[in-house]
Amino acid sequence: MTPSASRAAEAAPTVACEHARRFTIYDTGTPLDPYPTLREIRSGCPVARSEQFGGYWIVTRYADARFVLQNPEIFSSTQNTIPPRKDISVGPPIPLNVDPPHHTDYRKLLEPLMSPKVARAMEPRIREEVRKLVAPIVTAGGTELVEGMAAKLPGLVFLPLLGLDVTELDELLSLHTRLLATTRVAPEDREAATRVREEAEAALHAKVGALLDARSAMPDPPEDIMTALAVADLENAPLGRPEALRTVKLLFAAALDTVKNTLSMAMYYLAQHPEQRAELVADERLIPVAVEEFIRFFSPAPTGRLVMRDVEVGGVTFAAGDMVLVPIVAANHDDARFAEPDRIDFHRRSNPHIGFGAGPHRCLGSHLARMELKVALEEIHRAMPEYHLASDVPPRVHGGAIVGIDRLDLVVGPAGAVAP
Amino acid sequence: MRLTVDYDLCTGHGRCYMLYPDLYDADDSGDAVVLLPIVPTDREQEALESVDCCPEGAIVVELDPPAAEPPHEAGGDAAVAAPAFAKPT
Repeated sequence: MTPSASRAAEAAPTVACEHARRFTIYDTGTPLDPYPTLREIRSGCPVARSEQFGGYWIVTRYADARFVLQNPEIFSSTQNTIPPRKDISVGPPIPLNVDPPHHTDYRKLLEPLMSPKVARAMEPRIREEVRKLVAPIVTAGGTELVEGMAAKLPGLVFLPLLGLDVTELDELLSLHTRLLATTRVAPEDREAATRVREEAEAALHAKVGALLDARSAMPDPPEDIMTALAVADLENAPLGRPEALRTVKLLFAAALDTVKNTLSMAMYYLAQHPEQRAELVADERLIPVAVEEFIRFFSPAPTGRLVMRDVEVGGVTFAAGDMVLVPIVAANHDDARFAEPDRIDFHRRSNPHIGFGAGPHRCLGSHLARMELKVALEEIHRAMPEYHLASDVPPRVHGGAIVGIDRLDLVVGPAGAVAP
Repeated sequence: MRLTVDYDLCTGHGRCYMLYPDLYDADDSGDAVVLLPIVPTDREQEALESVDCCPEGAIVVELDPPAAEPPHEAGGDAAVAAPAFAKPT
C-alpha cells in the first residue's frame, strides 16, 4: 500500500471506502442511474482510493472536483485517462492532454471556430439535418434511435465544420468506431482492440494529412478547422503536421459520442416521462434549460488528472505522481450543491453543473453540443410529440470514456400504440 | 450594484449569457461579456441569480461601491464602468 492509500484508509474507514477500492468507470448500473456506487462513495468516502489499474483517487464532491479541474498547475492533463493511455503513434490528443501555456495557444486558435456565434450561424443547417433524420422515423412509425439518429447528427454537424463533406459520414463513423476500439474494452481485450485502432489511425492520418497538404497549397482556402490547422502560426506552441493530426483526432473523439449518448439517454428519459415531455412540447422555451439539465444529470464524460505536487483534497493528501479520477456525474449529483440532484427538473434555476468540465479544459465543443441537443429536441417533438419505448427491458449501459446506451427502440405515438 | 466577470476564471461555459441574455453576451471566443456593468435596480435579483449559475464562480457582484472611492465628477460613471466591458488580452 502506498503512503497516500494508507492515509485515505485512516481518514474514512467505511464500507463505501471498501467499495471504492474496486470501482472503475466500467462498473455501470442502469441508464438513469449509471453509477450507483458513486453515490455511495460520495456520501460515505467522498475522496476515495481505488486499487484498480495501478491505483487512483476518486473525487466525488462538486467542490473538490472543481478544485481539481480549476488548478492545472497542480493537476496536469498530460495524463488524463485511467487506465493510462498506451498509444499513441502521433502523441496524445491536443488540446486535451496539453497543459498551459501551450494549451492556451491551441485554445485561442480553436475557440473562435466553435464559438456561440458559430453555433448560432449553424442553427439553420443543424435544423435541416435533424428534419431529414426525423421525417423517416415518423413515416416508419418508430426507430432504433441510437444508431438511427443520435450517432448521425453530430457527424453531420461536425464534418463540414472540420472541412469534410457530409457524404463521407458512413466512412467517418466507421473510422471513429475503430479509433475508439480500445476505450470500451476490458483490459484483457486490449491487444486485439489496439490493432484495430492502429489501422484506423493510419487511415485517418493518411486522409487528414492529404487534406492538410491540399489546404496549405490553396491560395484561398475555405474557412474551417482544417484550414486553421494547416496554415496557423502559434506564438508559443508547435503546430506542424503531428500537432494538427493530434487535434483532429481529439475533435473526432469529442464531437461524436458525447452528443450521441446524451441525446439517446435524454430520449430514453422522455419516453418514460410523458408529462415532462408534454411540458417541452407545450413550451419550447423550456428546451434550453432541459438541455442543461440532461447534461448535468447524465454527464457522460469522466476525466482524470495527474498530480504534480503533494496536495490536500477534502482532507486527504495526494502525492506527486498519483492519478485522480474525476467522475463528473458524481459532482453534478452532489446534494451539497444541487437541490434534489437525482431529479430531472426543467425549471431548475440554479444549475452550475460541470458537465462540460471546468477550468481551462472546459469542453471546446460545448456551444455546438448545446445547439445540436436543443434543435434535436425541438424538431423531434414538433414532428413526433408522442412516443414510447418498444420494450420494457432497459437498454444496456456502457461505461468507459463516454457513458451511454447501445440501443433505444422507440415507437411513435401514445403508449398503447404498437410498432407497424 | 456592479457586475463583473473575472477573466482569470471565466472559460466560456456560456451559462450566463444563455440564461440571462439581458445581462451578458458572448465574445468571439465564447467568454462572457457583461452588458449591464451597473445593474439597474429592477435587474438586481437576476444578477444575483446569475452568480449562482456560473460553474467557474467567475461572476462577481459588488453590492456597493467601495467606501474609499472618491466621489465621481459629472460623467465619471462611464469611465468607472468601462473596465467591466474590457476583456484583458
